[in-house]
Amino acid sequence: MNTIIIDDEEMARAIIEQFTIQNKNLTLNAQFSDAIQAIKYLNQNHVDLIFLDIHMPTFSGFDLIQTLKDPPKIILTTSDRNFAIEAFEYECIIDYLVKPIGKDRFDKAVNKALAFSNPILSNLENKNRKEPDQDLYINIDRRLIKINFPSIYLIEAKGDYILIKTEGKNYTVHSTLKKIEEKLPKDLFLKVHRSFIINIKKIIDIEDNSVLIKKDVIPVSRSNRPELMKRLNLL
Amino acid sequence: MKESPNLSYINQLAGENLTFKKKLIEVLIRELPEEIKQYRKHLIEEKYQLAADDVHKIKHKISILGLELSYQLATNYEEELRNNNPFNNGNFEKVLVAMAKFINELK
Repeated sequence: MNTIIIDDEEMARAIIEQFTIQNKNLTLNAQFSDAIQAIKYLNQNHVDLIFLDIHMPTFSGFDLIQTLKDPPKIILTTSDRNFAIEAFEYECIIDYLVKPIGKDRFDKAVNKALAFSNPILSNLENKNRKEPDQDLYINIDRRLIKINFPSIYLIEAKGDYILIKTEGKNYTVHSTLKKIEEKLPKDLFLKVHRSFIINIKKIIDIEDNSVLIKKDVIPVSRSNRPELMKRLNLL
Repeated sequence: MKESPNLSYINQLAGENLTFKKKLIEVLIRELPEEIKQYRKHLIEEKYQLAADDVHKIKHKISILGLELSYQLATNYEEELRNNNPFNNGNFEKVLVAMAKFINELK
């Protein structure tokens, strides 16, 4: 696979370069300390795999991905675990390596990239992807915590954060209501207000402009009310 | 902080490849002082977001030098700087001084 490295830190580039040279499946074509130079290169050259640092001044790794129309496979490299969830929102991202990177972990990520390049394995992967997820992983203090969808009864927007209320525990996560809404099963959850998503199976009762879920009274905006009523099994 | 900078990770990474080990040490000696200089400049100028970016970058060197506790300290400090809170700079400075002393001895 034709490979490039994008990282503003020379030490990181030196380590990935060495691992790349040692891996017979990779050919290192170029390396860049800033994303803009890399974009110019990508516009003129075919690349199969990028080792991409997320955290770079002025133009981040995510900015770069959004710039590319048809991005190649990408393995993210970072000193920060906090971006793990955001990372997997991009289909082109194969894996996520936390620095300092070890050789075994590096090779494992490359093997994943190779599997995605194999049409048979890639098709299998796509089939697997179509199955709906039953769980959601959230990032709390650099730990990925699994939450089962049916256990969530309410999600509330709180500035740059969302509060996820479950049967057992509440979690505050740095994300937006829009992002989590995309991950939730549509048959179970409904946005009833710009600040609230509810699990419709957990509704206790409904009044004119509010629903009672557990002990929380949640406002229902006028525009969302018809969809809520449609979802109910009314007598 | 009861830990000292060391070359365990670099030794493990390089194995018997002494050329690679030499290269990593050369990069460390060249790059770290620049990163520290940049961080101190941004801190003095009260450009805390840029200082947080510098800390983020230095974190990799901290982990490469096997400073696990300092890495956690740096992670917390980076977050504090992102909230425009530089008050823990003294503890981070101690880490920088220890690293700078260590790489000076490598020269």
